[in-house]
Amino acid sequence: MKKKKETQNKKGMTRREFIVTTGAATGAALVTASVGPFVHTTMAKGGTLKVCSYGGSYQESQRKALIQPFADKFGVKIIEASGPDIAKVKAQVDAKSYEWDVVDLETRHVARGELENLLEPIDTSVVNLEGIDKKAIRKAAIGNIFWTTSLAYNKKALGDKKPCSSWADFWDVKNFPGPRALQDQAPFNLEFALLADGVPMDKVYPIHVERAFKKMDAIKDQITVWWKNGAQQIQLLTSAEAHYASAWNGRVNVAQGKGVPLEIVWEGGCLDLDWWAIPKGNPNRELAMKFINFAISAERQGEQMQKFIAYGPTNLKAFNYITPERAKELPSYPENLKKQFAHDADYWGPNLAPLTEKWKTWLIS
Amino acid sequence: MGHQLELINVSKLFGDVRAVDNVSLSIQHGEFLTLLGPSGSGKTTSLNMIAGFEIPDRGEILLENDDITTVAPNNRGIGMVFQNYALFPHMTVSDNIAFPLKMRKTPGNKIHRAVTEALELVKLPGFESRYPHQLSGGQQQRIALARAIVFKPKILLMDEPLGALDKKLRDHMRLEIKHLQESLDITVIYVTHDQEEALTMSDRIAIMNEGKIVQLDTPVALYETPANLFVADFIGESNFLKGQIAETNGDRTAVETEEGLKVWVAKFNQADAGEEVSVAIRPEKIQILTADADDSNDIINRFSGRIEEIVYVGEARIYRVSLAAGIIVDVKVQSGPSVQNFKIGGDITIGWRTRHGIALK
Amino acid sequence: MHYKSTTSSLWHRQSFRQLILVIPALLALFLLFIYPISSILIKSLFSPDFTLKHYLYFFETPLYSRVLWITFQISVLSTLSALIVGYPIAYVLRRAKPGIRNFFLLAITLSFMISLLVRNYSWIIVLQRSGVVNTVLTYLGLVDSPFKLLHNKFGVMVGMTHIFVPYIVFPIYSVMMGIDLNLEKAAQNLGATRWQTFWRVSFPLSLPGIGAGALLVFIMALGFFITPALLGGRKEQMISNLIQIQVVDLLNWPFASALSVILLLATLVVFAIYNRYLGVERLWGGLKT
Repeated sequence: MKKKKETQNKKGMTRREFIVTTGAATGAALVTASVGPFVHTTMAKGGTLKVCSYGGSYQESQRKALIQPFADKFGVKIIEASGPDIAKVKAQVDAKSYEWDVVDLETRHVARGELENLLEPIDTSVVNLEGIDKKAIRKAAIGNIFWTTSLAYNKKALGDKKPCSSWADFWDVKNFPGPRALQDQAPFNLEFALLADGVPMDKVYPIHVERAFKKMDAIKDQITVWWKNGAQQIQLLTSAEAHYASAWNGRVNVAQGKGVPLEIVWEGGCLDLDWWAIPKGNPNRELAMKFINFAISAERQGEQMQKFIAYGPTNLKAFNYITPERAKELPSYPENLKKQFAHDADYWGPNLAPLTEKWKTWLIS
Repeated sequence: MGHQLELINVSKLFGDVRAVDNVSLSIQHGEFLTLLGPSGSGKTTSLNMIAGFEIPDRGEILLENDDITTVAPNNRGIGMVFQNYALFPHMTVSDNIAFPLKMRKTPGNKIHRAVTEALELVKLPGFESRYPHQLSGGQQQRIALARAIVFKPKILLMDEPLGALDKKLRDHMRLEIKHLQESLDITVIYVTHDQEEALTMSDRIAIMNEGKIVQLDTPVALYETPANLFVADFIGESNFLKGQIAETNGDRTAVETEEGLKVWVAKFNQADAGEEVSVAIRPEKIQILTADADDSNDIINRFSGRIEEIVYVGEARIYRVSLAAGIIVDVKVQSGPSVQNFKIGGDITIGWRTRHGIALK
Repeated sequence: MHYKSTTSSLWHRQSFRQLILVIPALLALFLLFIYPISSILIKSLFSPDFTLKHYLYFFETPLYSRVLWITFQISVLSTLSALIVGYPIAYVLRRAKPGIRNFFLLAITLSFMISLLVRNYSWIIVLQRSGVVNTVLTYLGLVDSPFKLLHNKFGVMVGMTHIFVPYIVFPIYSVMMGIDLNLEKAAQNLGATRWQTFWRVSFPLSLPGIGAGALLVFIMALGFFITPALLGGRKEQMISNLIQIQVVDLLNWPFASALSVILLLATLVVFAIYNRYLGVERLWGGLKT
């Protein structure tokens, strides 16, 4: 079992790299490099489906556990692309020219997409929602993984010092000294600040903005780095440039697999999802729905999370296909789940714009 | 009064190439000395060492008895006119000429006067506010000259200054430079590969070849009595006959050519009988001898031959004559009313005086 | 008469042929510049009716003008820094032996091919608290605690200078190649010290290259954000990052367009100032004559 985990962990995870790189020249080059249109050429009698995801080992796990089996089973030709975001979806919907039939999106993009009516409502007569966690069900998207942004630390860098075990500890620089890093964005950080300030997990939303920023003030100058992308958070922790940082569980898991002495604190983690969605008005939506139904099945998700990637299945029955040892590493493992709070996409949908402005203004002041 | 400038055993190497090889040279105040030679002969490198742009590997350079071998160019007080004038394109004519004065912290009113005077001297008054690119090549040349003399340098160096001008303008500028040099009483070291320029302007010419000065003398002496084959060949035209020293008799030496012709030349005592030499005879020193020419009786170098070719060059005709032994010589005869009308294929007798044949090793 | 008519038809034919030849260029110009820029302009002004609200919003919300100001500051500083590093390189290359010169020109060209991210991460490794510089300084006992070389303005300057130096070196180098080295000899011969020669002759003559390189780099810097994001601290925020957030995360394209137009206008103002004092034609390497 252990051996299996190691082989899985060797694969680098470049997912979310795009967050900082899209829009810039090199970003484009990077995305193009990772896109390399991957075409599944099994008999195309079942039609053609274009799937876009975040590339790297994340998309590879989807390819092995979801895409290739779907292509084989239904005789569908699948064309893969990488580097999705809601802006590109909007461009396709506006132009009624669809490069993607199924697209993997982050929560804030799904929320924005629903606000702007850019996504096709999920047809529940095709997509079987049995066993799907209710947090993973939206009008126009179905969650495909749970992932967590939580507190992580470098065990070795701390030495004999007692590590933080909550966000309150993270804020307590006197008793828990050491360089720290947080992400340069309002979502998650404001929630963490409220948790540190004593707000219970179920009272985080709607965010008490003034209180959150006041708490952020307390730690502003103690944060040595405001990280921008997934590669950076792990680099900071690995090199001990930051002893503590908010980080993504998938990334931390990969680093652990490479022998980096990182630990994740599930306590106060922000549980979030990625979603399968279909661009509005897509003529191929029937086949797309069929794919989503296939991809969220317990068996498929079970294989994906067991073998290929350390994210949490949204189909709770998938744990039937996952060993207990493995399950403990996943964000949606019940023991881990109850220590975390769920990211509220509906709160952030309309609030992202004003809070981003407020965040950046706060940051440069 | 000593020499104004002296080069003593100066050498300069570029990699393995001896650009300047053990050159010694003394220049008097007010002298116009030209370094003449083919490209790569070391004349520009010599000039650069005098200007201070190159430091000799060996030897020393004295300016008015001061050792300036390693003195920086800006502290030498030597003016220079560059081949492409090197006027500062971003400065007006006035600023260009004022440049050396500003560097010497001359007061502003004096600069103004000096610039005006310099422009008058080069016959371009009123050009103060123009830019170099608004001037013709000849005008740029004059401004470069004005800039080089405005600070009253001890010596003026000129590196092929007329090279970029057309022939007419070149001839004209030649005279002007010469006049300017004489009226300013300035020492000029002039570099050129144009022998006509060198012969007409210079007091003395140093002929350079492969980094060495092969002969240093007045223009007349260089032309009339070249010291070696290279000079005889480089300056003007010559017929060359190869042979061995046969005998020396009084003030003349006999050379027997490979073809068996015996020619008498001016006494040559740098070689013994039997040694290989070349005999140089200028084409215009060879006469076409006719029976009625009574001034030619004493010419002992007389040979009969046949006219193979006649070339008309305006002021003269050149006859290509084949002598009995298969030797071809060119004979240059000034055009004039008295010239006889020789034809190709005609048989003639030619000859030259002993002193006009020069034996060279 | 007959002759005249043939020449005129020939003339027509030639001008027609010339027109055909420029069509691809005009088409490219239209597709790559005119169309995108005008559609951005339209998007910023009509949604769907004519409105200035997006521009008003820019001026009402201090964040955007403050970040634009930071962007200008970082761009000016990194341009100056690239000049200070790049100018001596160009100066030395101009005077180097051909073999050495070609080697370094090739090296500089190759640096264009290394991904921006790789170069930025390399600097992180060099400059971080446990990085090469701090390790050496600590080892030598010169500092007690590591210098903060990263995640501040200094780090941004180092990273951006590294990226911009080639863009500065090439225009300056090509202008310098066009300057007759005899001019420097002439200046020295006329009594100028090396220092005076540089400031009165070499430097003013290389100004067109400095202007072209600086303008190129400055305009590139205005649109930069990866390097400030990775090597900078919380205050090194760039306007293009805010535009990207508006485009990708907030789908507020009209406002993103307005921000882009404002950035473009600011750039054009700089360009106009440059043109006023140095002349655009110098950009393409020619001396203004």
